[in-house]
Amino acid sequence: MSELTQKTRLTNALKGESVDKAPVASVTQTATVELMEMTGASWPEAHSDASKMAKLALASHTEAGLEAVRYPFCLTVLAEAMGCEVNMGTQNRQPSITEHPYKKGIDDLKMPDNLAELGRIPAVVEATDIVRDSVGEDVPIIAGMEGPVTLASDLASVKKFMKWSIKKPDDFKAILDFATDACIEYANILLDSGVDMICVADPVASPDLMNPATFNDTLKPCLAKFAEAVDCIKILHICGNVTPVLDMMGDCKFEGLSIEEKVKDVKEAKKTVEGRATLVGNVSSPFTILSGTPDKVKEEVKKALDDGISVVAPGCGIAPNSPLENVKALVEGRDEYFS
Amino acid sequence: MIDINPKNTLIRYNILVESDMAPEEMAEKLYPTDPHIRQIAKAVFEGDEDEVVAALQNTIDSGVDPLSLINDALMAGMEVVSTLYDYGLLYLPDVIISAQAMIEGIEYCKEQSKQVHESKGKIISYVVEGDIHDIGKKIVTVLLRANGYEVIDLGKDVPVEEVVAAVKKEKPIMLSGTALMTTTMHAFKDVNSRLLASDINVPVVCGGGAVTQDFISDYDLGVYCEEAADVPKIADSILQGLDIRKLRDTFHKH
Repeated sequence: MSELTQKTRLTNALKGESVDKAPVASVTQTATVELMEMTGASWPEAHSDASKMAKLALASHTEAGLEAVRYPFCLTVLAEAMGCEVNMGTQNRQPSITEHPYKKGIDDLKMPDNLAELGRIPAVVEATDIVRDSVGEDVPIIAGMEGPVTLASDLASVKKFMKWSIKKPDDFKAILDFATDACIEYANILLDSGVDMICVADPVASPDLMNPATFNDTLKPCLAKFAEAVDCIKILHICGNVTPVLDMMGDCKFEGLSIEEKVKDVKEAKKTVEGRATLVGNVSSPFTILSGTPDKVKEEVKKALDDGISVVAPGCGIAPNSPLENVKALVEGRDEYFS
Repeated sequence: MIDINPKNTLIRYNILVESDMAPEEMAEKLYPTDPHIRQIAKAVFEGDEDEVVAALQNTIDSGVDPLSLINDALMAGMEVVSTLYDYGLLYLPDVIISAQAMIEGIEYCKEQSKQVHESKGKIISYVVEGDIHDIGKKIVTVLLRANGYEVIDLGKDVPVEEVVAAVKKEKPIMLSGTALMTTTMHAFKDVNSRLLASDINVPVVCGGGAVTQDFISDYDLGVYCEEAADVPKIADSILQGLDIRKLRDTFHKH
């Protein structure tokens, strides 16, 4: 097979079509302190400043060799635009939600009529222009965003969200529907700005937090509704050991499912979702990319490929203090595997 | 005195064989048998605060000491929840609503009693500096309170100075620290060395996505804890006199 462009390779791999070699990308957070120091584009400014956001995101492509450009670096852009208060964090600490607009209840849910103009959304849109000018059409651009479950829990507060899941199923459904609509609108803003793919990270949907039965009955339809309303290649990332919900994730209509190393049996996972979705992952972010060696990274890359992973990627967001050489080893491991 | 150990009951009812049983059915077999107590425990399990208070009131009216109900009924109910959570039959939302119902029940019992309720011991919980992920600490705090400990919750993103000051002031039987982010795990090192420098030998129980047993074992005071459900068991073991070495022997799994 002739050499594919990075965009075609990643697209094909996620759709389960044939490729010359597996692509290497991060569908989750990419920035590291080393890259911030190399580029002068640092957190927390790079969360809000379009040119810094673009510069830092590009570095993981140009310096670390990842075969996509992926930004922003947090899961708070939409939440903030929807009324959450955000602590912007520090150079090595991601932004986090500190205040929730609907923790008292769902009586006054209000969808903003100018979402594209709110908070940091204009900065993310502008960053897309800068990144596209820099990399051209052949390199895929992945926009990351919080998923409907995580957004709903940000809007209501995790504690209320969990409580409603049992005690107030109607309110639970209402906040989820509201969050799903917001996610769809935001994803389409991102798509109109020119990104190629969207990675939805939905950590709160993890079986570590929510009952798989709730996932099946209530969360899965929200994710599937989102997927149907957003017309591009999509990846769903859920943290933790998602084995109990993997089959249901396969029904969510995302092309790719990004999993952590906590999913112990990847071969079995692949069988579970075969024909419905491909797997992205699963080199351990904390134990290997942050605290391991390049050789350990390469070893896990090869294992992932042996197990049937379609896109080599960190299992979860790259920890900011991870050494650049370990991130580079993702591509090196893949190249050795296919040489 | 209620003599029930859900762990034994579960084995007796052979949960592995009957794993298709609904959690409600399992719980029915685990509640205390006294009808009054059972009603309170069941209301805790169901996370129904109003029912908890109503059932408590009934029982207190029948002449039972309100404070005895904290251990015998409210915590018995919460223990059913914790046990089924350990077995993966219940999930975090269930624990949260039951804990809330239990805490409201405890408040009610304290109001109804003139005496002071003695906790089993004082524990400080916190999330290390730089880390804003407090879901693990929330679970641990709920489970410890459910097991009768007074928990001083310092919150998330807690500076080392503040942890050390709180230990000096409160003299807890143990510390429970969590770190979910790999960027923040090294804060345990500072807590460890600052406590040792002050001659304080309190066990620091550490867990969370970012730490490993090997990492925690490097620190003299560190006890690694893989499952949140083990934290109350570690606290119970400390009360039974286990030192850090023995705690590691008992709870380190790798």
